[in-house]
Amino acid sequence: MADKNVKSAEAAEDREEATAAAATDDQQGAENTQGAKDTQGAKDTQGAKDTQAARETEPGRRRAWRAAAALGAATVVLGAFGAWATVHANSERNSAAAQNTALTDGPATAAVRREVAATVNPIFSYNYAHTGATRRAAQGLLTGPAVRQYDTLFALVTKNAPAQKLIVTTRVTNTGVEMLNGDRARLLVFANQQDTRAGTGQTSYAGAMFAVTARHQGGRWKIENIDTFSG
Amino acid sequence: MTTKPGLRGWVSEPLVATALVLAALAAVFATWAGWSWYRASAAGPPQDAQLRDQVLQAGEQAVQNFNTLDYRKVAAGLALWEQSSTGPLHTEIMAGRAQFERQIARTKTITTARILDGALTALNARAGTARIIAAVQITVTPASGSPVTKQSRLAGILTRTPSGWKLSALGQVPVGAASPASGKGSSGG
Repeated sequence: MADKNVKSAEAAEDREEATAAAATDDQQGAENTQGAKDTQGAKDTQGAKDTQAARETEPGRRRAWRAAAALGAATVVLGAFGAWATVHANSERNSAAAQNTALTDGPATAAVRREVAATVNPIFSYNYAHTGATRRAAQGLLTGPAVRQYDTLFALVTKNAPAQKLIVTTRVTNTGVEMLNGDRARLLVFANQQDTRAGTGQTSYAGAMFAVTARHQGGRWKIENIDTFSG
Repeated sequence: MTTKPGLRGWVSEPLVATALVLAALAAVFATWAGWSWYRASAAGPPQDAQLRDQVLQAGEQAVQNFNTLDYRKVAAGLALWEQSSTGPLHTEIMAGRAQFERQIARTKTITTARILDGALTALNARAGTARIIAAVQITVTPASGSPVTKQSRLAGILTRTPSGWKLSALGQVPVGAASPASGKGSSGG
């Protein structure tokens, strides 16, 4: 009976020991995990650490990549829209109609008409006796391609005018501003030319029409290009 | 730390942080661009500029109509003249129509026109009047013989009507000493 009791007590102890041991094991396991977490496996071997990190940050890393990809996509979409909108805003703002202040800016339109007429009149008026004076005066009123165009045109005058004793007076009769944008303008010009031959005293009249591109330079409108509609 | 998928955790990732900054910059850019586009398109070209372009276009078309006539389609051609004109010019056409039809039937000519260039010399939106000048190339093809092309300087007056801007006067700009009146003095108000 006593033996039995002892035996059963022993058994109970054994059981308790086993339970305690198991509890200790659990505790140790928990401690190990905790330690590994806190020190990032500093005490563990390299292999153990990698496995640990991989297992623990895999979902986070994947989420980060996903977030980065989503943000990247948003960047592309927003950037593309921004570029598109900028292009459209510019084309809208720079549309020919919006930029052109011909007639809508009365004083500027009047100024360019007046100055272009005041430029055309002297450069296309000449006296056979002193064509050089006209040519010199013209140089200050022309710019860009018009300088060459005028030289070509005036070479004929220099050649022919003295023989014909020609005196030409040009007078602009109509000017219309097609385009006026800051320092650039395009005008349609009608002019009448009175040709007098000093030898015979004969006078004839001719009408001219051409378009000029003008440029505001050095405080005045200069002629940059002459289009005679011959092309 | 990286195990926590909170916002702070993500942002601390250099990749995500960079992507976030770029996306934010793109958002700012898109907002600015969208706003400026809205502003630009809402404003549109100024009304007076639109009117100028519209009147010039109508004027050039009318000038071209008036220099186009085919003896095989006289009725249609003259109807177009009527449609393109108003006021004195319209009256003139109506009065001379029968005579003109007979004349064109006799000469059997085809006249076509190309506007080389055109410009308004004046525009008065309130009064509904404008002045136009146009450089026109006119080709006349006779019944027999080769076509003759000439360049012509035309000046006209445009008047606003309920059915658009129409020519109330049109003529050649005269060559010569006694000419300069037409189209001058219109100071572009």
